[in-house]
Amino acid sequence: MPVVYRGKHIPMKQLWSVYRALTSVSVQLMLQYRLTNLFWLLGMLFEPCISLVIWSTVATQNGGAVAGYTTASLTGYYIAWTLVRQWNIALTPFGFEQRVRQGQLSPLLLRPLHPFHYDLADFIALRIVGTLYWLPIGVVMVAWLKPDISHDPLTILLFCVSLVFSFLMRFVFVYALGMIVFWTTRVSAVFNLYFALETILSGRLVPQALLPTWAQQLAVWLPFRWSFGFPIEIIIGKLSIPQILQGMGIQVLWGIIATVAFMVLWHAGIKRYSAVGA
Amino acid sequence: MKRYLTLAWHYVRLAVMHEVQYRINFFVQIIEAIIALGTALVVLALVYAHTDQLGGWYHDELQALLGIFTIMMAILRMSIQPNIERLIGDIQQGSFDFVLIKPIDAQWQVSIRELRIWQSVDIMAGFIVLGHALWHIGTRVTMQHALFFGITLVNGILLIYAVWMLISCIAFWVIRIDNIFELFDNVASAGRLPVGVYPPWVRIILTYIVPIAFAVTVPAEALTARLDLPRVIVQTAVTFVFLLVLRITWRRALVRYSGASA
Repeated sequence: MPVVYRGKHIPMKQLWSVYRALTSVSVQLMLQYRLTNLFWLLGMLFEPCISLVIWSTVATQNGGAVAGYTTASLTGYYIAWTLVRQWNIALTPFGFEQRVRQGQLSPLLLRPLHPFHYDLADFIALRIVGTLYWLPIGVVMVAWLKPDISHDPLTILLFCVSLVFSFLMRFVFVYALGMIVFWTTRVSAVFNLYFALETILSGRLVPQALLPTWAQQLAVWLPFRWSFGFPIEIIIGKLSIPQILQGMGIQVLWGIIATVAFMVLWHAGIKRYSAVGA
Repeated sequence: MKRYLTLAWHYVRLAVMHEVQYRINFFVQIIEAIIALGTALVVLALVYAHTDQLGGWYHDELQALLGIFTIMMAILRMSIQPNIERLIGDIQQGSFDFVLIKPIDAQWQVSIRELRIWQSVDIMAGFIVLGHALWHIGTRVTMQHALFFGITLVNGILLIYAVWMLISCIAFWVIRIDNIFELFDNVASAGRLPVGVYPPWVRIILTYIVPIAFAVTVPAEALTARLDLPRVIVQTAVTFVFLLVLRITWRRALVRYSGASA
């Protein structure tokens, strides 16, 4: 008889202190590798730099703006990009595939909490460390490049909230996607296609406004842009307050959909999981 | 000389025999090449939906550049990178001793040991994009252009080889350098664009420090009739200088090496 794994149920209040403990341990672990973190962050700056060079050239050639983006607002877009990109990092299906294939999931199942909690705590820690490293670089970029970024405290607050939402939403979404691995481990092509689509439609490659109209309309109905382009558009002042609140509602909605999908897939998948070597 | 080539041939044969065991990787590589190139082509299409030229380069010309960039990166991942990874591993674990005791030049040896043949799919894909772009441009590629292209492409490969090897020589002094490569991989992605598009100070870095500009932009210039003989000579000279610096650094690094446990 296969044992169905459910994970221990614990009350909300306890969960909070568990998360605090797990996160602080992870933060301390990560702060040991200071140089590694710095190189990693610097490496991540290149992609937006290239995009920024392309589009500011286009904007200049078009007489100062392209699809409503001036050079200053493009600069703002891609500076905010560097922070949002940080908060977009999740446990990819590739990571999960490795766990299942190499049997690393089994010891995780023996722990008192659902593996999801450990992963989420770990990634929250990564966000905290990443943001700490980003702050000085971000401040220098803003001071040096003088981008068009909103100074309104309310907008900044809404940006921060939507940033956290986008992190949680994408994290659960990508985690749920990884559950496919319970059925087959030969799906890297599917994941690559998914991430390519996401790159194009989320706003990571170019701001939404630069996509063809049909792609923009499509992107509204897909989750991608809500976890990437949306927070950026808040901070560069492209959206009104009602639009922001509506967008946050959509973020929450996608978060709920992802959570339900994850729970269903996990319960179905974990029954099929038999550790490698067992 | 013959000894060196025979050795290289044997390593290639070995690598092929090893890699054909994993035939499924061929198809995986095809799909990944299509996705990566597809995304890059989408970017170009988006850019040229809003403008008709970027820093003086038209759509088809930039597509030709993308083809060359793809070929370069494929060669980097097919041969240069795996060899360097193995070299660094050897230095860290002390098994570099086994390279030194063999009666053939050590630099030659560490440069030919590995070959990921399935990466050749990307080389092919790069040539397809390049060919398609050239066909669209429509100007006849003269003998002279083809010759310039051949020379500058080989120079470009040697340049990338020299720079990546130079970085890996750091491993003789500082053992842990994985991150530097990750950083350089990202710098290399700047080669997607003609170097003239970048601000002047970036241009200097991309030309003389990480000469990705010489490696990718110059061959593309050869095919789009922007290149004259003096620039070919300059690029060849720069390549020669980089290889020379590498050789000197390599000799010093060998003196420095003392085995892992000694």
